[in-house]
Amino acid sequence: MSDELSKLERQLWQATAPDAATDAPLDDETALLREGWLAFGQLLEDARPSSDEPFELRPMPRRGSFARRKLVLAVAVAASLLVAATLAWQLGGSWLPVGPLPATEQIARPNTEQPNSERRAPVVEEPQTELAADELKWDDSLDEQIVSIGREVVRVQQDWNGLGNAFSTVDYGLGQIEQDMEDNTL
Amino acid sequence: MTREKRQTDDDRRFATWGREHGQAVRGYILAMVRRPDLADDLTQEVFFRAWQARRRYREQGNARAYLMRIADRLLCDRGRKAGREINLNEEGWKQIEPIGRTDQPYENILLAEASGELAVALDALSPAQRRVLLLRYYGGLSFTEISQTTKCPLNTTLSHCRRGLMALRKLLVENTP
Repeated sequence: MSDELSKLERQLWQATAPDAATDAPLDDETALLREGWLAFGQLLEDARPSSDEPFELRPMPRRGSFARRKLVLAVAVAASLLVAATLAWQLGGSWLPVGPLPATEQIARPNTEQPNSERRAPVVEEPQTELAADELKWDDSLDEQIVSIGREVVRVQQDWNGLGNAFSTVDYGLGQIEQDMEDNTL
Repeated sequence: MTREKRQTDDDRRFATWGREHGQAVRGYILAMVRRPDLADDLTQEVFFRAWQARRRYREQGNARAYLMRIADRLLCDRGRKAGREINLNEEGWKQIEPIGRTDQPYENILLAEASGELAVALDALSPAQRRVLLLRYYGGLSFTEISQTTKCPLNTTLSHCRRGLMALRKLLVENTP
């Protein structure tokens, strides 16, 4: 630090020192600076409301509260994921694409019309006991019921889609009317 | 040291800090932002940040300088975001401004007058001069500490201080009848 800089620092230190720390006589320039400082300090004090009252601090957060909040958040996220996974698993069937009926029939047909197809062959060839083989035998009536229920589900879904299309048509029509009214063509 | 003991020490230290330095920190912030409500909030924020960083704090006998540095950084951050805030004009502010902090009308008048004069004096300073002088006044920081806090070379800091004092003297001493 140069002499000039340290001299300036000392001068400003004296000029801006608290009241009690300025017993030493000041040179002219420092005295001028000090006048400015004291006037500024007086102004700051005058503009301070109720200076005797200490500043009221709000209570600081407890140490454990943040960790506890994190734990609760983690549990909530885990629970949400669990619920979402369960829902996805349970609704998985309804998310299958609504395809044409033959797709369902293709699944059912090999078991009903071609009993000796590859799908059943491993079951037959397995060394099973008589009882086990009976249990695994394909039940055609049950299969028919499953297929018919599947068809009903698909039909309901298609009806719903059709209904949705109808609503879309009505909505489109209303939109057209609104557009026309705005354009004053009606 | 047990957790409870440390907690008690922290509580005690912050109570002392609030008692001894709260007004100074608030005074600095108020002089910089000139809005009492905002100054209160920012002062709380300063202590909250100090509380969050209390494990890293090393007792060196100058807690006020430490708090002032946090306050200064907070004000700088706020200054960067200032564009996103809605600033009221004088008329709008009068409509929502609290009537007064004291319940004595005469005190309120004096306070309003002093605040007005202070605003004029602060306006006479450049932002850098204001920052240096207020850190010196409220924080009692040395010029080296101020230059570190403001990330400004020492000679520039001293220059700001000197010019600021000359401007204040001219305004408050020479121009006073």
